[in-house]
Amino acid sequence: MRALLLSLISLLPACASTMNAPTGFVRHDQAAEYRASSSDRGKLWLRDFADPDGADLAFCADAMRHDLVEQRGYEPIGEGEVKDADAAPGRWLEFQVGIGGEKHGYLLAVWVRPRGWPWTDRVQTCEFLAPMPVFTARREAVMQALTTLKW
Amino acid sequence: MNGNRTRWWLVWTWIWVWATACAVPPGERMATAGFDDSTNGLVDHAEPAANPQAGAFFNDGDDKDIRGRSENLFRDTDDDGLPDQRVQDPQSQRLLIQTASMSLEVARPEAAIADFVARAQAAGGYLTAQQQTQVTVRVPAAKFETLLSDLRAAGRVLSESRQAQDVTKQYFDLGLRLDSAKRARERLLALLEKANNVKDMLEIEAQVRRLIEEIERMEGEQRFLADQVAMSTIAATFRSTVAAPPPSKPRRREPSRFDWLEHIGAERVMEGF
Repeated sequence: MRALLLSLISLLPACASTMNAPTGFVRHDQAAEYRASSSDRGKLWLRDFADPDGADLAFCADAMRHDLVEQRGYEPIGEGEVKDADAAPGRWLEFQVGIGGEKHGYLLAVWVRPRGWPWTDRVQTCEFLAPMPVFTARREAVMQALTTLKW
Repeated sequence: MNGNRTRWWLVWTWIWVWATACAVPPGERMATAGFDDSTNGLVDHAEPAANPQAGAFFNDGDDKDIRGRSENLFRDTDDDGLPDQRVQDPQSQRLLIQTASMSLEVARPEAAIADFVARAQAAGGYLTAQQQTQVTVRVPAAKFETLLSDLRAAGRVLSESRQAQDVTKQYFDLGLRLDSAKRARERLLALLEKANNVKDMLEIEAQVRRLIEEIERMEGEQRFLADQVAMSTIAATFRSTVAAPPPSKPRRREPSRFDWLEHIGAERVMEGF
């Protein structure tokens, strides 16, 4: 019973994550993680991970950049800072990647919250993936929506 | 009777003309080839003006007795009845058609090709063919060695080959036959003036026409040889030093100990949707 209660409680941070859907996106469902899609294959996904090692924002951004570029062959396009609805600092990384022979744009925004629930640091990510023309067209709307993120 | 006489006269003249062209001893040949100058009654050979090498070869510009000069230029050391092209400086007097081909490795083939063509044009040459990274130019013979040196300095030489075709004798013989034909034409024209019946006139005119065609053909051949000697050919192939990228292989990603790193990425988003 206690285990069940703890499992349910551990899901709370994920359930709490929300944001205003970017223009042209519709949220999939109201349970668990926030996912939204556009009519032209744009995908938006909010996720929350435990960070028991206590890695800070800079470390996480560097590790993600290295893994995506050096190990997976993504092509970096840009990088910058972003703030969520609580003005918590985050970092965004933008890449170009081929999927199924088609060029896609991939935006990864990351925040690190120290000592979140349940007693570990949290790494929170927002990912936006779309075919390149769609990515270019909808990127601004997604960046705007990031500022409405509430974890 | 008169008609028969003219006919015999024609036949003998014709035989004499061709015998002169084919069987004159070496010493006499120079005179019949027309190596005269205005000082000693022998005129200089005027053709071809475009080829300085041939002009120097045939030109008797120093008023020497042609026989004395011919001994210097045209000694027949092997007794084959034909003068040898042995001179004090054989290299400068030979008529050579020079060609070269070179393959090089360069950092930027396009820039190297443009530079090579520009150098050839600056030397008085021109581009004759270009196919992708293979370029052929013709340059004045005097600039042949210079351009080859420039080409070697442009990159790493992978292969080089050169040929020099000696056409001195061919050109020389052509000149002699041309002069003989021209003199025969002059004699026939003189005969035409004296012909007194239509049949003889028609016969002589037919012979003259044939000679004119032969002269034009030989002149064309001589001009072609002169051009080939005056302009040398260089063919260059340029290859890039930049190796082609190896074929892409699927990356083998090293798993990360960070859970959050394992779950991000475009592939994960595609799987999760």
